Amino acid sequence: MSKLYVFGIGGTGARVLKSLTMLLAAGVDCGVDTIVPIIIDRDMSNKDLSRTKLIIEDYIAVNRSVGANGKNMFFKTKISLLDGGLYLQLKDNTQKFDEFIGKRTMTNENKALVDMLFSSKTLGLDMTEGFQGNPNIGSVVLNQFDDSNVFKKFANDFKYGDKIFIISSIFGGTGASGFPLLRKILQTANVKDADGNNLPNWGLVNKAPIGAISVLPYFIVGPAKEESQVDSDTFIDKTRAALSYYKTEDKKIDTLYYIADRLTSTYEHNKGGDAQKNDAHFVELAGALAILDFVNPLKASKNFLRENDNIQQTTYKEFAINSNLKEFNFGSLADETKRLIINPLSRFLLFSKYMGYSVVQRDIDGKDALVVELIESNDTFKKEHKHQPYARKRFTGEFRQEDIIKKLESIQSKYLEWLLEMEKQERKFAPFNLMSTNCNNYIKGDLSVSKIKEFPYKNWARVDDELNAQIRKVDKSLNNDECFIELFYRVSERLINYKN
Amino acid sequence: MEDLLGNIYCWFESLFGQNLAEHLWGYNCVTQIYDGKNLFNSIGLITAGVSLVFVLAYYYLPLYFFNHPRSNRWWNWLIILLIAGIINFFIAYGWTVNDFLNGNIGDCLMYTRDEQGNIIAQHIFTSDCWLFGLSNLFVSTLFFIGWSLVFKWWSRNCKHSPLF
Repeated sequence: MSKLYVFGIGGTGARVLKSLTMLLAAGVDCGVDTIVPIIIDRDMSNKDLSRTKLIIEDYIAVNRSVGANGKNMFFKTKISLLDGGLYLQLKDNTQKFDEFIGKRTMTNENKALVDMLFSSKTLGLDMTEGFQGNPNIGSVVLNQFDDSNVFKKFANDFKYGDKIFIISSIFGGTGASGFPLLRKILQTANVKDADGNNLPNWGLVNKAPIGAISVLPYFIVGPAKEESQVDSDTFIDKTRAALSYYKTEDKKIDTLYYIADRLTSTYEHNKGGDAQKNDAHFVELAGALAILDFVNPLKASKNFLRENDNIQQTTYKEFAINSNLKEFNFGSLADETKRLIINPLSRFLLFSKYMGYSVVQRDIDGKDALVVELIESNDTFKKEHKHQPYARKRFTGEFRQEDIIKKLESIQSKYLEWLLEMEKQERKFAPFNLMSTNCNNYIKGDLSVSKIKEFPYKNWARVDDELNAQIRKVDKSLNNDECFIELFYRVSERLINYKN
Repeated sequence: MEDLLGNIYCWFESLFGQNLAEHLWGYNCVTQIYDGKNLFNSIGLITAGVSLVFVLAYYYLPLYFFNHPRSNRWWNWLIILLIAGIINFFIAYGWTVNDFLNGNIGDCLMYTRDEQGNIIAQHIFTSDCWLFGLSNLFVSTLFFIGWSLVFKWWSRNCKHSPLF
């Protein structure tokens, strides 16, 4: 029962964790039994963070209803939270940077030194919305990692064989400063808690396999609507500066992943808070794939070059697509990536579409926009569950109102949103015809993925036929929720089967 | 047992008449015994067979309107039942009207004659053949329901059609 502790630092950390959750919901194979996400961000009101939190909470609820013994892969990997919480609680939540460093109580000489090091804007920065692209203040504030009580729950939970992964962006504030500080404290020996006692299992933490992904610039921000210190023009310089510092991380990390995209999307400029809601991007999906690569047991000989628990060499990895296209689909991915994600993503989409979740065009504020909605005419489950043998006396009545099924459908809706958002980027990852209501043509490219034939049953009737066939093979001891997920996995596995 | 089908048809004897029933039982006007072929059994077995073929097709043949996820409503089952019934209706009508037109029905069953041999009453008409066809439609329905109750349980898509 090995675990992977994934520290997601800043907004990018939260978004990569969201992509990872989507991949796990779709049933992408994961080399550990349990993922423990831990988010580190001063900007707790960040919309990206709250969206990720909701998805993870729903995932956890659905995962509890997945049978252990079936064939099902949807929601198979367990996600657990440290003591029920998703965030690493920093002790000091002082709002202004100058208050945090205690400038008011400093001697005049020290005040002068501080004024020389930090601009008045920086000193007056409201940190409740993060560090707004200022790694210099992030590196000061996040030194709270040295407050060992922060890691008490983590250390208590840590076991031999567990691994650590850190997600951060290099071009912002929180991620760029947080990554090296976090790595440092995790590998500092004999860390004690506030009472002076050694943190339990800290020796195991020190020696644990550790990986990280550093996300290089892949988006820029438009002009600011209000006063903000986030400036896209500094992204490359900040990246260069951080990379030169990260050289010192060599042989301290087992595997370090880098990812970037020069074809940048322009996001609405929000310094943080509730307004910071960036669309999902393929780079974040690739970031999540880095996590899965890190724990892939078949890659262990490359990912962990150690001798006597000491890292001999850091493995550096990058991610690329086969061709530099503005819009690409599964066909542009490397064979290994195709094998990993085509079947799960396509299968979970089939399931979501069967439940009626659709991408439709709507007029929003006078503009045509694509949105995800539950469309009754596309809701095959609603139309058919009263008639099909697979649903009889199982999935009828109030079944769809059950908490687990509502959470499952909430993830399905967000899954489509996630796919749709990736299509809206400057570099579009568009592997599906999301607007298609036909189960035979929703996967783009000539990949021989779908096994859905037009004869003798057309379109969704083929899916119903397979549901009616597979229900006989599902373990009778499963409860309704378990049975529902197991059944749909079996069916989607029969109908969607890409072999490379 | 050999009279079973005949007895079932005789539930509807008031429709097609006793004389046609006697012919179908195999009554011989010459020998005045039932030494002819029991046509109830012949027609009944064909009716049972046609119903069985349609029931098996509905529950197991993977084609549109048969064992199909969109054809498992009760009215689809009813339509198949009616199709089988209409086929059996014409089989029964055709069989009896053929006997009627070709003079295969015994004279004593067809007519009442006076001492000179003149016909004073006719007992069997083509309308009786139509009504026997209707009776066979009812028998076909019984077979269809019976076969459905036997074979529906293993159907992939229609096991709960029309009921249960």
